Amino acid sequence: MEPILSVRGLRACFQTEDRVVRAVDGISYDLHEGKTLAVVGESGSGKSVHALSILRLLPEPPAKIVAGQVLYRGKDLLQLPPADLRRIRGNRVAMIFQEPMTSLNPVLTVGEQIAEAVVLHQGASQKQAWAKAVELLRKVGIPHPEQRVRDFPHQFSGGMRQRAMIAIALSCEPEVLIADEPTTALDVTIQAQILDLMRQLQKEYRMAIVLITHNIGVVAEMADDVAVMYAGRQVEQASVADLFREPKHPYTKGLLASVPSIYERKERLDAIPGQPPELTRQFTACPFAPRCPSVIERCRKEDPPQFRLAGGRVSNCWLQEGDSQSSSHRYEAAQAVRS
Amino acid sequence: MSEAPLLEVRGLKKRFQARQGLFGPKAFVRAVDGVSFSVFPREAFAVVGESGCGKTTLGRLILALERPTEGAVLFEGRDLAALGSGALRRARKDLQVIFQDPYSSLDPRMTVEQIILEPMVIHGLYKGQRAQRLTHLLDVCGIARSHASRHPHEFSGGQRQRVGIARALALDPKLIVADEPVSALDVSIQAQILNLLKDLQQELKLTYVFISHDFSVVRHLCQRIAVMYLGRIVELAAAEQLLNDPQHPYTEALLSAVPIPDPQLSRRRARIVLSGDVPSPLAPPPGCAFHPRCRYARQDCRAQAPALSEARPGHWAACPVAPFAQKPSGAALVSLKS
Repeated sequence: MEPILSVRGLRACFQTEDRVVRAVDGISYDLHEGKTLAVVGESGSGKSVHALSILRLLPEPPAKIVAGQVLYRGKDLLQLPPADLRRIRGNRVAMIFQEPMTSLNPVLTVGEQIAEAVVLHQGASQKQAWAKAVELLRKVGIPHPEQRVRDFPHQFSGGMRQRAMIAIALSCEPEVLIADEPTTALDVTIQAQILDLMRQLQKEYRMAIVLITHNIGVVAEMADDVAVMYAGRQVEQASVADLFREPKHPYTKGLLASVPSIYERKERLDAIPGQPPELTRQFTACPFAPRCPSVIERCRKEDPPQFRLAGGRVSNCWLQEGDSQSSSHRYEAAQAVRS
Repeated sequence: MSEAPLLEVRGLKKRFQARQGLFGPKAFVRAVDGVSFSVFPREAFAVVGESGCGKTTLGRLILALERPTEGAVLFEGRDLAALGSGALRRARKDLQVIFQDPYSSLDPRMTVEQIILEPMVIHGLYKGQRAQRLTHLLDVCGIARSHASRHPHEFSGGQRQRVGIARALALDPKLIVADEPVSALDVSIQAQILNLLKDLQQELKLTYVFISHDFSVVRHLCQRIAVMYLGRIVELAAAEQLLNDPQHPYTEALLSAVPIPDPQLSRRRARIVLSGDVPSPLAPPPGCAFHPRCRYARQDCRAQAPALSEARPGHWAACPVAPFAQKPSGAALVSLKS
């Protein structure tokens, strides 16, 4: 089956006066209808910049997408003229953000903000769009939608604002939803409600979801496939079951081991020593090598390519070289180098 | 636990005045609404709850940064609110705090050295040994000695939190209130800081009041857990007992909402999704504050707020209704209404 969305060798950087920050330094994946792909990583790993790059929401300059393709049904979103991209953005590919208060417009009612997308993309009349807004609020579980549709965002609680954001994203029944840390600002009981809602709507609309998160528990609960990012690049990709059963990349192993569990009490948590590297220089070796417990001499000299392993898994670690079926260097994969 | 408690909180209440709009009627937020517990020396005691449950206000009351509306905080048997300003200042030497946000809790104009030495200067302690003490604190908190002359902005979040911990330890305190000390950190760094807090507790015989929203973090560090909802403790027990066998419906739901980092387990387990939001503390529901969201709620839950009762030795819960709650067998009832 053809993927709905394919990201190929995406790289994006920020150019400041005296330096270049390589925020996204190589990520590739395929997303299929009705599936959820989680992109997981810690602060500064490039997961959010990658999400913004997909829909070209990065401010250019200082940001610049330097390589790669984002294929939506075979069309490269990175090459589309702005008018064509606008027809897809918010319509076929929609996005929700972490902080629902700052991403909603405080001077427009919730209803106006939902209706806006419906009028814009579906050519509905104001009246039809308003009716649709009420229906969408009901769908995302807002009580008394006929009244609440006239409220401003500040009159909503955090969980309700995130529901309103989801209503806006769903207004045109998108095929792809990009959710950037959708529950990070919420309490766990409200997080459970929102994740539940996303699962239910995904089933109903057969939506594909790119879920960006730092929360390993959310990944385990929601994802079909997982891409792990470190220092701007994808270091591992696998199905959720494979990844948790047998993580291949030492960073993934470290990340999973450092999560405290409510089901067992460990004497010590297995922390990863040190900190992630600065992203201002081009790596000539594995960026995880200084913190890696399994480091070998080669890791400090040569940047590992992407090794394709059995079961459709991918890992960027020299230790997997022996098991690999083929390898591709991240920069060869990034064929469409934009100038 | 025949030992005398280090910290005793008795019927503590804190109300804040709020207004509905600029000229609106006066209203009161009961941020802390009748809380009692004791913390024993060398214990790590956790207070867990969601935003707005009053856990941070409780922490500030314990540190005497807020004056209680009612009730008392006893530290080593003395009521902090009754102390004069000089005596309170001396008591503060033993009561330190670690804040959540390592970005805003360190003065950007001071160097690490100045930040860690400041408490000693203020209290006029360790004269002549400050340089030595500084190196010692840097070492135990895992900060490179060469970094002492740097400013906070030169550090990552985890490193800054280490500086905040070193500052809290500067006066060799007895009790540390840690208010969400790891929630701003990435998990791999969070694990480093949790290990550090655990080591420090053992080495320095510290007592912690650990305020958090995260059960898995708390489980790693704490012996006993109190769960708060809308200003009250709804359940209090030894960590293992509370997590394995919760006796209050809110604890049960809160635990089931925590995403588990195991795809097989997390998709198999029964999940209780609470409906609605936490009610406004300006207008808490009558009776048990949890009843509008509770799946076991009965008519009489609206009438009266249940007091904490001892479901089994050392395990207290404020719910007489839920099916898993065992009836107290003549156990003493502790009234939260004091």
